Amino acid sequence: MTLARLERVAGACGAALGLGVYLVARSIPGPPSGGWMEDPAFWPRILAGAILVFSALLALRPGGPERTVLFAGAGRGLLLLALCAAYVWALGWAGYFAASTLWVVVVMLVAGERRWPVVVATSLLLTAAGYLLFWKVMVIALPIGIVDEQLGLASLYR
Amino acid sequence: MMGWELVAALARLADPVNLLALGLSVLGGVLVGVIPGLGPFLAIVVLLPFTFHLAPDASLLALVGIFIGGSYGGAVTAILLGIPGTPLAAATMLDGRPMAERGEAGRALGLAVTASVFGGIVSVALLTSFSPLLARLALNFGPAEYTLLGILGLTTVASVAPGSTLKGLLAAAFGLLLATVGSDSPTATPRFTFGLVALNAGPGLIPVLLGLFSIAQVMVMLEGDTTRSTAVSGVARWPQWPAAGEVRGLAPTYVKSSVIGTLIGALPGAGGVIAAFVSYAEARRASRHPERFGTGTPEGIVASEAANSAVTGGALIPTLTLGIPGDAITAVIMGALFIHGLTPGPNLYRDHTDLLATVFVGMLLANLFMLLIGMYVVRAVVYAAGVRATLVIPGVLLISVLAAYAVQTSMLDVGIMFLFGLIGYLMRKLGFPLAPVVLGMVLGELIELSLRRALTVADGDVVALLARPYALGIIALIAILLLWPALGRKRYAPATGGAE
Repeated sequence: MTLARLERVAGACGAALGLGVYLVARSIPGPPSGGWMEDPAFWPRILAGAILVFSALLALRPGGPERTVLFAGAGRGLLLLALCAAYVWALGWAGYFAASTLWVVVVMLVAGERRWPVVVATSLLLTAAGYLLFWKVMVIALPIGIVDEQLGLASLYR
Repeated sequence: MMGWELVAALARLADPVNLLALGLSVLGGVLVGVIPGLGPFLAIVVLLPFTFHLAPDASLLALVGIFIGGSYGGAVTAILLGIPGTPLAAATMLDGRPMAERGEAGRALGLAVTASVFGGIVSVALLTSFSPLLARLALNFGPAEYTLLGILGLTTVASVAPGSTLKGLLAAAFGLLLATVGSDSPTATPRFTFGLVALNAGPGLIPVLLGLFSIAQVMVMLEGDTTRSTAVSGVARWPQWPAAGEVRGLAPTYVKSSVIGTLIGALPGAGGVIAAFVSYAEARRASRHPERFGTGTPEGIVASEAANSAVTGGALIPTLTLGIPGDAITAVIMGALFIHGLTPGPNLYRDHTDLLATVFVGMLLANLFMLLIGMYVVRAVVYAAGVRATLVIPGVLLISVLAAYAVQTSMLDVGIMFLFGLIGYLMRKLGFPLAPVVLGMVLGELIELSLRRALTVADGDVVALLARPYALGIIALIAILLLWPALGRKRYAPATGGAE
């Protein structure tokens, strides 16, 4: 698809966003007292109008770049996002160590890495580095799950 | 800023945490500048959550350290491999690479690092000298001027962003809209939270930044050949100190390029790439041998590197004095100030002179660290350029996930990061600039609250609000910026038969 056509689609989406923001802003309760400038919906309405106008101009402007935009490689990126969503779910259920080690392996395979010793070593090293940096140095409570407990890794969270 | 404050800052810098934060961040900045696909901005975004756990001075030192180190790192691969590690080094490559191909890679690296350090030091000197004066002038500004300054900053960045002004303005409006999500601070009324209590504090700058830049960058990297690795064996060279005679001959270029870089850096939206090319063009114009540019002339390397490094100090002038960041990097640094409860602007100069003095002296020290790293460590650092994307991608992803989670130990933030990863990827594919989104998000609350305060003071009278000398001056600047592309096209049209 050409960039000009994609810009028109983006303009239409932006206009819909501006309209949606304006409609949602109407439901924001006004101030108990004071003038219109103290209304919490005042600024969002201005922004909704600006987005609507800019998007309409983008959608309706004549001509535009005829360069073709390729999404040929986007499949791997979208697959990665899906894997990331699965990882977020697995973190809470399986725990940091189990979920992260497996996830890094899968991400490396999706990225095209086929050298198994490198995949395994990177996965273990990155997971350990993340644990040391966030749990030990920054004292951030990483999620512990049942798989980590089954693997006897619960002691690492103390 | 008084001399004794700068001396006291030296004592604070002797704190091991501050020294370590500065030294490691400069080294990290050089490293991310060398690794293709990364860069100082991505590193600063990823580092931002870690700065929660540091004192304000250490966190600011870490951020400016990466900014300074990253401005040089790209030159190493530009000279040794002919690949600019960051766009900042594109102009350096024009003469750095031919000089290296002549067998003088060590000389090129030495010129690049000394020029970077000189540019950085000059820019800090100008920042230290002039920013307090600008801050004093800004004390005359009221809420109306701050609203307009915020809009000026956004308009400048949107109008010079790659793509089109319209896309830049749309991106800026999107960023401003994101800043409205959450509780309205004067009335505590929730806006666009859709009943989610977790959104009362807004979507969070860090998850949005990580999504827009880190996740979107990984998606773009996945489109290319991720298994290719750059051949780096045998290219590493020890940098050589430039000879005294050569430095004397190049002195005007060192000085002029540093001043050009600082001035361009102080203009919102311009940035290091523009500074490097403008300085390179000026050095070529002023040279007695312009035909030698592009064939490995030392002036070309010095002009580019001194200017792109001098941007670091220049870009902080409007950020610290007016609270108007000049680009995405300084917007993130401004975000770090907000995180620590500090508001950039003239009051920062009045109430936190000690912190500013520490940062300014720290920037000088960071440049000296960079000199040591550039002369004695860079030979090892260049091997980082050979790292495959298959190793970089999981590292960037894991640290981004954990960094987003660490902000509030919330999985919602991780989800927000991935959502903005997709948005950032689509914006990049469609040619929308991302920097205005960041600026809009950082400046959003300041612009909104200043506007509402100014309107309340003026009792809703918009004309009275704008009829102030400083406000009129800023409005004129905004109008020029918005009309400039159209006027430029009109003037250009007859010569090109109406074609753009």
